[in-house]
Amino acid sequence: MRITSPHMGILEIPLRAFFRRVNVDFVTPPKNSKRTLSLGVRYAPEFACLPLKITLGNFIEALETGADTIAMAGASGPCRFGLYGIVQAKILEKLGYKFKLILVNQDENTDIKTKIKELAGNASWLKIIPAVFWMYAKLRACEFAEELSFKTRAYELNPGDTTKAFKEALSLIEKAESYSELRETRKKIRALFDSIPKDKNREVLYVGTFGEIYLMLEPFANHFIEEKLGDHGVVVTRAVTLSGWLKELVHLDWFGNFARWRLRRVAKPYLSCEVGGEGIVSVGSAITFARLGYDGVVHISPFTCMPEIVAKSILTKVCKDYDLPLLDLTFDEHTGEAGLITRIEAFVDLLRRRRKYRLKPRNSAYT
Amino acid sequence: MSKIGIPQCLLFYRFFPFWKTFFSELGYEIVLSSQTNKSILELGVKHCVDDACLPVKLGFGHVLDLCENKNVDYLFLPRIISIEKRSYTCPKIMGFPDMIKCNINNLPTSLDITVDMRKPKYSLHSAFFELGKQLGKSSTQVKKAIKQATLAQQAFQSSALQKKNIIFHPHLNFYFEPQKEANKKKKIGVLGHPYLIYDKFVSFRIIDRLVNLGYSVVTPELIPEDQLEESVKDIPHHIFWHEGESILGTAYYLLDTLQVNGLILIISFECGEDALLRELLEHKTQKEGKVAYMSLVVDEHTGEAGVLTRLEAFLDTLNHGKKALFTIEEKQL
Repeated sequence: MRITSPHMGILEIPLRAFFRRVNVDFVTPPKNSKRTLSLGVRYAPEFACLPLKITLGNFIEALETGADTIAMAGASGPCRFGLYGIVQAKILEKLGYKFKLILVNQDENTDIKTKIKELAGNASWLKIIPAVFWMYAKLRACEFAEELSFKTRAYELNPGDTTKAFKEALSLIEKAESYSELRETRKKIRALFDSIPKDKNREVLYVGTFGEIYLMLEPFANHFIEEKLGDHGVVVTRAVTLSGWLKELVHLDWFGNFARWRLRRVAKPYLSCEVGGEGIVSVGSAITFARLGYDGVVHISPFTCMPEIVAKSILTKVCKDYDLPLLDLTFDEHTGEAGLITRIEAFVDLLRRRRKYRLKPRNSAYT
Repeated sequence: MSKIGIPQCLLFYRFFPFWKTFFSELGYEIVLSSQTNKSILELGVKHCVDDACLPVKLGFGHVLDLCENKNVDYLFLPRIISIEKRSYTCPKIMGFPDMIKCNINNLPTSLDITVDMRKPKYSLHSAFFELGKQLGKSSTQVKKAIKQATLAQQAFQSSALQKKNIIFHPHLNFYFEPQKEANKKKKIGVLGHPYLIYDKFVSFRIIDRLVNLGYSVVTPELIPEDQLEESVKDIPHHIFWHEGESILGTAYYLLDTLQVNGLILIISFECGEDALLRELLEHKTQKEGKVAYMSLVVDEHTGEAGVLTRLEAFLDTLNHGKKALFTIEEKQL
């Protein structure tokens, strides 16, 4: 069995770690590229959202490189994501690929335990459970590096240093083979980012990003928005994390549920029910960022995303009430890079001017 | 007598008999927004976020129409999360009341209820019971109203099933128009969300046109619900949108039993559900290739002439070259 799974930001590193522990051959799809996107766009339904198209491209490229099993997450609604797996499988079948689909699902009908066991090549639970913990440890390490990079990039003196350091950090995490090594790696990563020459006196802006999870996490899909913001001296805070999403997907997340419950309570005056996906999280995080005194927020969503359209139409009111600048970015396969850069520059200019003339002091956002 | 305004949008097309009976039993007057027209569409497009789909934009238009022209005391905006265990409505329908409240100022008092059949606390019965209590009616009165309303809804649905006819609803009444048995040419399935296929403005009266040309028409409402679930069984995943399931189920049922000669799928641009369901449906129609199939995508810019041309071409395919052109009178319908 040669298993594959789509790219989603840093997800490939923990996944590789997991499958190496359970001795299953994992095929990492070729890096997201123009080809991935155009393959996806060619075969996916035209109104489908961008994540479906890119992940379909991933599957095609992975099957070309010799994978024979596809692992895909599923859900039971109401976001379209839940049906990605079967729609993509139908398309791939039509294209003539031979493969097996393993749908890891939250649905109450399917037994998640058997699915995970199937995914791990019927290894014993004694092997799977430590592997899952190991995967999680790696994931946290990656997120740690990511957060550091968001904070460092705004201060860096030589543009590009942080990106280089982040890549190195990821390869260090990839190499770590035990928990103690991983702890060492964390220290090394911190030192790595500390050694980057910084302008400590630079006045940076604090911007929160939230929106649809795939576009938040996959830099290829959002045109490296965090880097672009960072280059303009902006410290970015992400409202959603991969670890939180994964834990929620397999119903393991008590603390995450609590966080979601808190966001729901915050968002209640504006949006009083879950609308699937990250809809309520978006509204809740906008309010939370406003209360923390952030300079502005960026809302990222794919074109035709159902929950985010609801969130978007509510965010205008939220941001008016809280006097919070909002940059609404909708991505599809045609998004031009230059237009995006112009919009980001204009947004950052606006934030700087507001900062200059704003009377009320900023709460501490850097925690 | 207080007036309750109900916008003719979204799930109105499914639950109106219930709502109507409930409120009239409690002694309220019901005021509907005008039938969809150009000015409603323009109002909706102006006030709604541009990314939203046509039905949601029209919903905004209908609510604004009620606020501006109809002078109502209350606005009925139910938040319908799920109308069946294990399934949802669409996210935009779930968030619709909140979208309205955040984008339209000076709304009349809105009657808020949350219907979520997944949770017993928010079942249809308890939601409307709460609503009745909010309006200051006694328990017995409210219970009686709910009972009557449920009966009315059931009667509506079962008469659609028994009579095997299409549902029309001019203004206040739903009624079933008996189809002419004599000159039945061919059977065509018209699929889509109720708020698309029964809205005469949006669908360009496709059903009326087909019936006038002598075709008999099947819509998702005319297929018993257990049949629908049966026919989507071979899809390895539960279709978790109630309406999506009924559209896909109808299509699969009609294709499997070969009851129809043609299928027309009407979807609105940017409809999230239909984007994926259309792929599944097309996969099946292409695989079997026995039934002519056409999908029509409508949005706020759709021109009537284009739709008519496509419909004509589709009917030509169906009749294998036999002329099916509209007469001049039918074009002016």
